[in-house]
Amino acid sequence: MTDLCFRLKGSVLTTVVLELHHFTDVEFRRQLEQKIEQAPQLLQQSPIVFDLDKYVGDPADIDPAALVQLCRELGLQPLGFRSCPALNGAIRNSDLAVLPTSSGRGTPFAEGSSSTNSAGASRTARESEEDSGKQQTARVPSKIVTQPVRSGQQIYARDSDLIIMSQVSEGAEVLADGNIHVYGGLRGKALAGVQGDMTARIFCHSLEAELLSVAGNFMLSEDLPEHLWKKPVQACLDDGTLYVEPL
Amino acid sequence: MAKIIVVTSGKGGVGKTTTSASIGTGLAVKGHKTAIIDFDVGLRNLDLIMGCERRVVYDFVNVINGDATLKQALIKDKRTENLFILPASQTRDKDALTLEGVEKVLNDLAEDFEFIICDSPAGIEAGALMAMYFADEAIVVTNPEVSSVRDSDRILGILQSKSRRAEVGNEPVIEHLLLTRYNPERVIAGEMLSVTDVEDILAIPLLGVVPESEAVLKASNQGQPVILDDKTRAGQAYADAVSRLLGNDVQHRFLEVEKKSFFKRVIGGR
Repeated sequence: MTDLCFRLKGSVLTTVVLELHHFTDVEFRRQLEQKIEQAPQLLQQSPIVFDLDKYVGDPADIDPAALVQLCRELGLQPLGFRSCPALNGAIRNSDLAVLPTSSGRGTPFAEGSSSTNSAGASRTARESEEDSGKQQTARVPSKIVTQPVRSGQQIYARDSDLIIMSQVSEGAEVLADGNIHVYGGLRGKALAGVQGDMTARIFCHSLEAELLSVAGNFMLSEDLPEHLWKKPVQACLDDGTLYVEPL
Repeated sequence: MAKIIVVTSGKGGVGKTTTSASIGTGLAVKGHKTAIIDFDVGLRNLDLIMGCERRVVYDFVNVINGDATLKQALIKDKRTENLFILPASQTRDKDALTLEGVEKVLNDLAEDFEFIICDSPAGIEAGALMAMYFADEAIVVTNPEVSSVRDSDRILGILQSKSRRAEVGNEPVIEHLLLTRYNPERVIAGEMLSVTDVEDILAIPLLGVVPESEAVLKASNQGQPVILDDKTRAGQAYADAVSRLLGNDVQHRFLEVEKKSFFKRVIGGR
């Protein structure tokens, strides 16, 4: 028996499919940049497949090299082309894969539906930036801090919840894309859902905060209900308005 | 193994140098060989409070630059056995200190001393960072007022993030709170934060409470650490703090308003 150098396996890969409708350098770049900004977590360094099935006009007019270059500049990783017989010659020159035409229906990217298509076909990313802003493409473990967060310190939990096992001093800032838990006095600023998650909440053992904010809706200490001062509370959004209630 | 203790506060004028002088002296009195280093380059004060200003020939910066040996620069205290002072340079600025230079001096001192007290300058800039970087323990000197407490909180954050122990991931710097200029009468009058308030905000163990006392100013001007005057309340409070620093369990004193006896009131107590 010799040691095998490799093993071939079949695997289904989830990628983003870019369905091209029409292509002009400037406009394409502007729109793509906008999309990436809306959902940076989803799209940065994301592998991407171009689908020309819905292309309006003659796909032969597209310069595949320019398209690929542009996407790479914006941090995407183009994998290949799909549904593009007319372009095959030019595409081969661009060193990307040529994939067979999709057999199933891809899910439109921006609608956030949870449907998947039939076996073997590519699946588009199910989660979208408009799906309540909660991006669950990969589970990111919560950030846990055991030491007090002191004045002048700033702690940010990217893509996750932030759990502080101690206090947050006046002049300190704690931020999270998800929820914030403070198992001690919250005397500084706490900003949950900083990427726009409207369902994010702030929980604390003793409310003495300088500022509370959920998805950009904030409240200064002077606006906080007096009877809840130094009490255990949670803060969350109700219909776009921040409110604080006892725990 | 020498223990390196930084005396720091963030805010100026809260009693760092007074504390360095008294704690250092107290440790030496108890038989521990101690060096006190003045890190306040350009604003040298420790020598005055220790009463050795006329004996400064070489300083910390001279040693770092190799112009003098550590032995030449260390000033032996005349009153207390086992006590040495390394003065700061008055003619240079904080940039004269380098991390490598400071480390070398501390390593050399560590061979021969049990305690090294680093008297930090105020602020959170280079000088203060140098003083705290190599510390094993920190005495955070705080006055019972909000701005001092906030600055102490800030310095605690820096200690836990920018010290060597934090950077290499060793056991964190051990923190001690020393509340100075405490006046229980003014606490009751609502003019000062109470010990409990400060402990609540800073959430670190209390090393001691030094009462506000005229004796401190007097001792400073005479160039004698206040701990040596064991008749004063401030001196006694520092002695207690030294004892706690050495691991003894000592009851806190001077937290309540002193009840003056009739006799004292007639004579006029301190």
